[in-house]
Amino acid sequence: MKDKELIALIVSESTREQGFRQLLSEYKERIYWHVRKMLLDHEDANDVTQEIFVKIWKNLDKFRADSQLYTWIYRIATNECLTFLNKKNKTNSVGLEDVDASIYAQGGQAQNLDADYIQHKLSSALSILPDKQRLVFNMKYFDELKYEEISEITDTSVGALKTSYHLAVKKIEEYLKTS
Amino acid sequence: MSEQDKHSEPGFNFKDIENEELFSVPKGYFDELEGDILSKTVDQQPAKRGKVVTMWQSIYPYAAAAALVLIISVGIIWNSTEDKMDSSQNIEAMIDEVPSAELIAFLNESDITTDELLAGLDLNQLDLISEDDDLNLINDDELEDVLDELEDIEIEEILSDI
Repeated sequence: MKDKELIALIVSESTREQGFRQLLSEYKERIYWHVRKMLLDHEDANDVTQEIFVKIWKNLDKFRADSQLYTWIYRIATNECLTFLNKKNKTNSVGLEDVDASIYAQGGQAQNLDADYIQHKLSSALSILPDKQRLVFNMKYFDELKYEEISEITDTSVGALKTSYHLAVKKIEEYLKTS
Repeated sequence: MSEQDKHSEPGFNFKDIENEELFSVPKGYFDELEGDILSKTVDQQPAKRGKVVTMWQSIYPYAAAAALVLIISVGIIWNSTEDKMDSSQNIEAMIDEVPSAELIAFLNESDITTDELLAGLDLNQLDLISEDDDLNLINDDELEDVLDELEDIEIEEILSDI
């Protein structure tokens, strides 16, 4: 189902519940992966993804028909991710070694060594980026959003986003070369 | 990737790898996720909570009636058990608790005839009581008091009729 049809269901009170069910079905995986690449840990990503959809449901009546649905959803998701990371960073500073250990602990059982290796490489590379740089990198590189769209989601200028993305790419390249 | 970004193509490629290969997720996770989210959102609406209250309100009279029947049943069962255990003691205890004057006043005021009273008596139970030594439910002093009282009532009634 296209966003246009989804919006038509959402804006009408009588079909809002049906619209939310469709929205959840369409977006749950995209949003989970968006969150997972930001938080890296599955349990954290699961909690935050659920929280995001609860917020979407509670605010669905405030959604304006002339807005872009995915931009609105990504905005809520991004805010929730950054709020979660801020809280987590305040309570404990996670070092790179800890991230490595947790990644091995959760990925080591069911997957082969190659997959573990790639997962470890990417997770480690992402974890060296500051939160906001990682956010911009994920949306640009994995989700293939345009700078203008990311700008709308993050309330950041396109120029600042471009700089942020190029810095992130350079850091990951250097990390992959040296590790 | 758009034209403006072609010059900055990263020197690595993670895009061709499936998300599930980059990060592990439990089997059947996304179905479970959808169920968890629905239970926290559309399946937990205030309107539905309201319906529960309405349903309770609608069954309240029936629930109250059922509770009353239950209380009465328990009382009857309890009493019948008590009767079976020690019927003579139980009847005596009950009668002892009621002042004689009140019993007589009740019988005077009620519409029960002597025939009806006799018809309601269980002869077997009477046998049980008769086996007991203490049959003096009303002693002589009390009997005199009651008779005096009855006389007073009769005089009052006669006076009121005049």
